[in-house]
Amino acid sequence: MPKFIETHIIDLLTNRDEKGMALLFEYYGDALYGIAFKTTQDDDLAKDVLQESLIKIWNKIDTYDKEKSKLFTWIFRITRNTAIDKIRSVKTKSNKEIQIEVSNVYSIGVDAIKPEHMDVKQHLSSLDEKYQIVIEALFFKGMTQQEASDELDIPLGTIKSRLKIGLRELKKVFNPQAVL
Amino acid sequence: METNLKTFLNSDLLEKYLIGDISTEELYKVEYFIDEYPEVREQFSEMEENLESYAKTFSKPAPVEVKQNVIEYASKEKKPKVLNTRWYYGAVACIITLLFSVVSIYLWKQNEMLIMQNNEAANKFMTLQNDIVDTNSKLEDFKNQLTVLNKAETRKYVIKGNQRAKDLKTVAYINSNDKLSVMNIVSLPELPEGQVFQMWANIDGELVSLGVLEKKQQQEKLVTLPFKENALSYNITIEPEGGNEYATIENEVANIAVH
Repeated sequence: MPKFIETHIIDLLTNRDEKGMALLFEYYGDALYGIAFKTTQDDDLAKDVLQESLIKIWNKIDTYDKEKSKLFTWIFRITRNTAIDKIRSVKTKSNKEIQIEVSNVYSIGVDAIKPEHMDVKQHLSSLDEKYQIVIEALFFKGMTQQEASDELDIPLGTIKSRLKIGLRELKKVFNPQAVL
Repeated sequence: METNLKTFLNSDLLEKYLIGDISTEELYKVEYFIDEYPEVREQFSEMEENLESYAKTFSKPAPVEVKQNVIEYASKEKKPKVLNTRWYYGAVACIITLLFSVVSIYLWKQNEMLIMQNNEAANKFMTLQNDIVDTNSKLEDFKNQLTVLNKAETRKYVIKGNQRAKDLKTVAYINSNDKLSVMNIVSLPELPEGQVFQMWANIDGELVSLGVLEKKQQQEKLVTLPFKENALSYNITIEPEGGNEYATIENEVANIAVH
């Protein structure tokens, strides 16, 4: 996403201009909803998470520090935490076992695939499944490293290294030319 | 230092910081390394880019009603920053003006009070001065009275009233050498309202006023009389209240010749 739009959205939100909320939804709404759904695995819960997250972003924009992180990183954290709190509050996490299948990684409806992500999706398959599983567990399921280790029956040290390597490998997925 | 950097990069702190799943202590540590080491900042920046790209691969069409709800929320909650600032500045200006007014009023009152106290002090001082003068005068009188009474050449004259003032009795002490005279008003009869006893000295046939005899003077032991040289006699008449400029001879109630 062009950096200009990110700065523009931040300015509008800081000035309490509702146009900022509209742009925030337009540019990040689908991604945030996807994160919410990936964590809750429930449309209604994901809808609640998205709405609550956007309102939190609106209310807390004054606490955002652009020197410390990108806007997406900040709103990703808010959405992820809201989703984790949501599933904990409805106690659905305990009823769901983590079944991270390879197919789930790509379980996005055809209508949701945006053209700009088509190539990425193709390359995503090149990311080793073992890294995807760990990233999924920690980033989207809200597990701690210990919980992921217990759930996936993988040693804690392995969890840590697979996370590190997996994120590094993502560079090859999204910036294949840089790697080369 | 390089070992610390290597140790940090080999840890999972950056990853935990990325997703916000980090303790406060770890957060400060990560932010320190990001600020201090460009390579750490670069690595983190890359992780952010990858996270965004990765997360967007799971994008799902967001429900339209959520958009309506959040925009409605924002339109109610919006507070234009400029107005806020202006309100804030306005409020600060009002507070400063109010404080200034309060302080000004307080200082003015203080000033008024000080002026009043100053005036009171000045009045008291004047009163004290007058008291001092009065006391000095009384002391002088007392001294004179003692002088008159103690001297051998002082003559004593008992003045009694006639038929019209049977109860009138005064004793005059005259010292011609020192030119002092005092009087003891032994008793003064009551007079009708609007009348007083007045004392005169006969100087070459002319009656010169020595003053009005007041009832309160009866309580005092001695009253100083103005000394009149070559007085032939002392006379007492009844005059209108406040005294008279000329003696009403027909109202004479007492007289005594002076040797």
